[in-house]
Parts: sequence; C-alpha cells; structure tokens
Amino acid sequence: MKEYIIEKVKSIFIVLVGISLLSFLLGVVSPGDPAELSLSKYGYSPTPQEIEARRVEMGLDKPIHIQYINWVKNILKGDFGKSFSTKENVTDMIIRKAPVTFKLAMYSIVITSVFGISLGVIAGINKNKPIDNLIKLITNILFSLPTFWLALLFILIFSEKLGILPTSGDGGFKYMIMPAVSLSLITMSTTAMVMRSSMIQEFGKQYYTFAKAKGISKYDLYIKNVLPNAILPVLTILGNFFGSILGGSAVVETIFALSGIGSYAVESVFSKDFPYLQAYVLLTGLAFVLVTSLVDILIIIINPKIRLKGDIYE
Amino acid sequence: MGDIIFEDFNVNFETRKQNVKSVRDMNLTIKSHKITGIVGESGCGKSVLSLSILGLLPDYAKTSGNIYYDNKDITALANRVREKYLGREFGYISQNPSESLSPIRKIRKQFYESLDLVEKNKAEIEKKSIEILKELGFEKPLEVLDKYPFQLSGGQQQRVLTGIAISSSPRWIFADEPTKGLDENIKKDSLELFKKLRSFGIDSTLVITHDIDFAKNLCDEVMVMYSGQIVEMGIDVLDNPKHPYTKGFIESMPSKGMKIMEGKTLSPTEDIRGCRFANRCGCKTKRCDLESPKLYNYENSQVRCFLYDKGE
Repeated sequence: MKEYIIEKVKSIFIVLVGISLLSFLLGVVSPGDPAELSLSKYGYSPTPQEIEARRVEMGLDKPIHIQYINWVKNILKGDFGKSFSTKENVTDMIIRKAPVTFKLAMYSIVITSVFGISLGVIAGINKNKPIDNLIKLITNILFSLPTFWLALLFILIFSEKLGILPTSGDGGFKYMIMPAVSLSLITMSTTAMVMRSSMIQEFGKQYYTFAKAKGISKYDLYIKNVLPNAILPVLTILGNFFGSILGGSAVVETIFALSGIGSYAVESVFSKDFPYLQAYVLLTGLAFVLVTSLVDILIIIINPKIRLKGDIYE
Repeated sequence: MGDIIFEDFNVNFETRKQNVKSVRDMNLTIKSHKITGIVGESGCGKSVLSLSILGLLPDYAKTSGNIYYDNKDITALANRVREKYLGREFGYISQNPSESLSPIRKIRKQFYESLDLVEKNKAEIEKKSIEILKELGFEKPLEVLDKYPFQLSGGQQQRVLTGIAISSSPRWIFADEPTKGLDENIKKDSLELFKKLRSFGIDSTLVITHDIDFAKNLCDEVMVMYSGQIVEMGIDVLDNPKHPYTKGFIESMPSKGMKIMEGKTLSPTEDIRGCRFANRCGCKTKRCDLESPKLYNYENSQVRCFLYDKGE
C-alpha cells in the first residue's frame, strides 16, 4: 500500500507538470502582447518605449523555457502575477473568490451524494418495479437537460413566479440553493444510475444469496451487506464529480452572479486577462487531480484485502 | 411433519430466444430427520431445486407447481411471509465458500447478524458464536471473528459458512456443493462436519453434490438427478446402481476408472416425448423413444427406466 501511495504521488507530480505547461502555454500562444496588455488602461495607449521597458521587467525578452521556469518559481512562492484588467495580485483575487466556488462545490457534491446514492439504492432494491421505473425516468430526464437551461428555469420558477429564492448575488444559504441544485442535477442523475447498476450487480453475487438465506432484515441485507460493496465504484465517480464541479462551476456562477473563481474566469477570457486565466486553469486542474487521487487512495484504504495484504493487483 | 414435498414442480428460465427447463415435473418427497443427497452432473438442475425450496431463485426464473412444507404450499406464500422461513426453518450453505461472504466485512459482523435472529443479548451472541466455532474445530474462535474472509483458507471459510447457517438453529440445512474446490484432506473434515450437524440440533439435511464418495459416506438416502428429473432414488443407490445413467455416472468418477459416458446430455431447452437419457443409453429400446418412463419401484429403489417396469 505504501508503494501504491508513492506511485500515486509520482503520477500526480507528472500530471501537475503537464497542467502547468498547458496553462503556461495558454499565456504564450494567446493573441496580444502581455506587456502592452498589462499597461493598457481605459483610454490610454502606452508608448513603444514603455512597452519595451515593461517587457524586460516581465522577463518576456528571455527564451521561453526560462520564462516557464521563472513562472513556476513565482507560483511556488505564491505569486501568479498581476491581473491585466484589475492590476490586482491574482493570488489575492483567488483567495478572495475561491471560498464562494468551494462552498458551491461542497453543496453540490453533498446534494449529488445524498440524493444520488439514495435514489440509486432505492431503484436497485426495487429493480423493475414502478418506483424503479419512476426513478429511471426522472434521472434520465435530468441527465439530458443542460445545466444553464435548468438554472434559467429555476430562476423563472422560484424567483420570478414564486418569489421564494433570490435570483442572484452572494449571501447566505438561500443564495446557494438554486446554483447548487442546478449544478448537481446531472451529476446526481449519473450517480443514481451508477449506484443502481452497482447494487444490481452485487445481487448476482454469491455472498448476496448467502446473506439473504440467513433470514436477516432487509436493512441488514441491503445497507450493511450490499451497500458497502456496491458503493466503491460510486466513490470514484463522486471524486471525479467534485473535481469537475470545482472546475466547471463557471457557467452557474455567471448565471447567478456569484463572485467565485469561475465567473471571473469567464470574464478574464473576454478581457484577455491571462495571468488570472493561467492561475485558474492551474488551480482547478490541481484540485481535480488531488481530489480524484485522494478518492483512489481512500478506496484502497476501505478495501481490507489491500489494506492488510498490501496487495493491489490481487 | 417437516418433509418437503414437490408436486408437479417446474422451473423455467425464459429468455427471448429460448426456454431453459431446469426442473421438470418434479414429484418428490424429501424426508425430514434424514440426510438426503442429490447427486448429478453440472447443469442437471440440482442447485436450482434447492434454491427453489429456499425461494432464492433469481427473478427471471418462472416456477409452476407446488412445494409443501408442514402441510403448507410455500410457493403460494407472499415473499414477505416466505422470507421468514429463511434462517429460522431453512438454513443454507452456498457453494464457493470464498465468494459467499461479503469481502469487506469482518466475520464477526456476518456471524452475529445471523445469531441475532434467535438471540438479542450481545454477550450471549458472542458466547454462542465462540461455542459454535469451537465445536466446528476452530481453536481460537475470537481470532477468527476478527478476520476478514480472505484471511481464511477455503476449509475454514466453509466451516464459518456452516457455523453461520446453523447458528440460528434452522430445522433444515441445504448445502450446495460443500466439497467443491476442496482438496482431499479437507473433504474428509467436511464429511465429519456434516455428520456432526445433528448434534447442533439440525434435524434434516439436504446435500447437493456431484461427489459420489462424499454422498455415499454421508447420506441416508440418495437421489440421482439428470436433465431436470430424478432418475433414481433409494438408500443404496450408489452401492447398487440400477439406472443406466447412475451406472455410467459412477464409472465416470476418477476413483472408478474415469470411463467417460458417451454422447451429450440433452439440452435443457429440448422437449422430447421419450426418455431424456435414451440418446446416450446402451440399453435403449423402441419404447424409450416413444414414452417417458415413470419412477418404478425396484428392490430398495425407485428407478426411472423401463428395464425396471414390472407392469404394475
């Protein structure tokens, strides 16, 4: 198991190098001169001398691999550079905006897990009965609806017609309900479908027949015997979802005007604010890799066969 | 009381393309207070037969006919009621011990769960499970309880399964291929274990096996199953076989020279008018193709073969 974790950390490292290269190149291949962009303000065009001086200051006159190394060095010091549009430190911006996105992701993953797992378990236990068909129908519909459309529908119903939830802005729990729900419905449906089929797959196994033959209660049979086995593949996809929700909340943040890291990333695309965009790509990539790796390790820890024997490849 | 009686019982597995008939027109009494063995080759329907008593057939299995237990037709009971028989009346020891326990739960939890049916006091449950495990030959029961299934050997796993099955004191134990995959030494232990079941208050046992020596040494009565039917049953079937299939089956055992029977078993999807063994039988007559034989009484046995039809 130790070896496994070491291997995992190694592969995380390699992936991170890849992500950092990609986000660095994003700044290099993007149109426009960064030195000029960083000097531009409303209605002011910098002179060629100013731009040249700035280019040297930013190290843009150096070869590209030196630029990359310097960039990585700065990031390791916590410096992502200054935003082209706001002239603020990108690090400060991220620190200010990340909690909103993180909160949104947490709410979404909780909704995804709680409802996805419960619906999947209920559907699996009642395979091909009316309740299962109903859950299958609902999850299939939700699964095929785009997030932005759901978000707009929610605003129409709950804010415009019923007036019970605020349309947009940062605030307490109330402000998070619609964004979190619209962000989690697709992942919840997928979780429910995977949970259902995982349960059904367990029903075909010998231990299920034996456990059932013991005459134990339905709760003991399904929740204590089957669920812990059936949930393992679901944990993996939940890990993936958490990572992708964290990175993919840009659309929802924009619709609900939440000042998270995602909504500003959309803005930064339009305003060519590459330092911010680089930081965003790098950090969400990092979060994705860390969460999915943690889940992988968690699954190994849960499995006693690997935990006690140190044998992963059976 | 306590006998299990099949009446015109059929089990079909219907798929879109074909209809697999695993158990055909079963009329049979499995007597209580006895160890009964059902022997036969893979796919003859013997496991399906035991699962249909327990009500554990998969959803897509279609059954017809009745199974009576204590004068009640248990096939007519609602699932909720029928499940109450499990553990309390019927205990089950499944095949493949290594796959029969949840891989990620300790033995303790899987053991206590079953005792919980008859005993609510935690301390008593522990005491009882230690007692049972000791009786089953575990020297350090507490250590076993704290292990995961994969940490036990195949023989140990089987003893744990047996312990779990008998812990709730059912009247019947159904054991499906208890010697499958065990090596010769452990088979002997397994034999002793099953002989001992009576001392645990298990009144009646049904053992499903293709291991003839095991059945011969253990069972009071043996039934031979072929292609969904019982072809021969009695108290000395394996010592004194009468049906051509039983004879061939015994001769095909490795210990008896491994003489392989000719021909192929009729597919369970195929319906024919005559005897289901006729296509492989050396004693086949014209009648065998035209008419389906019944079970005829002959000496101590009942045999499904026209050779033993005395025209009664």
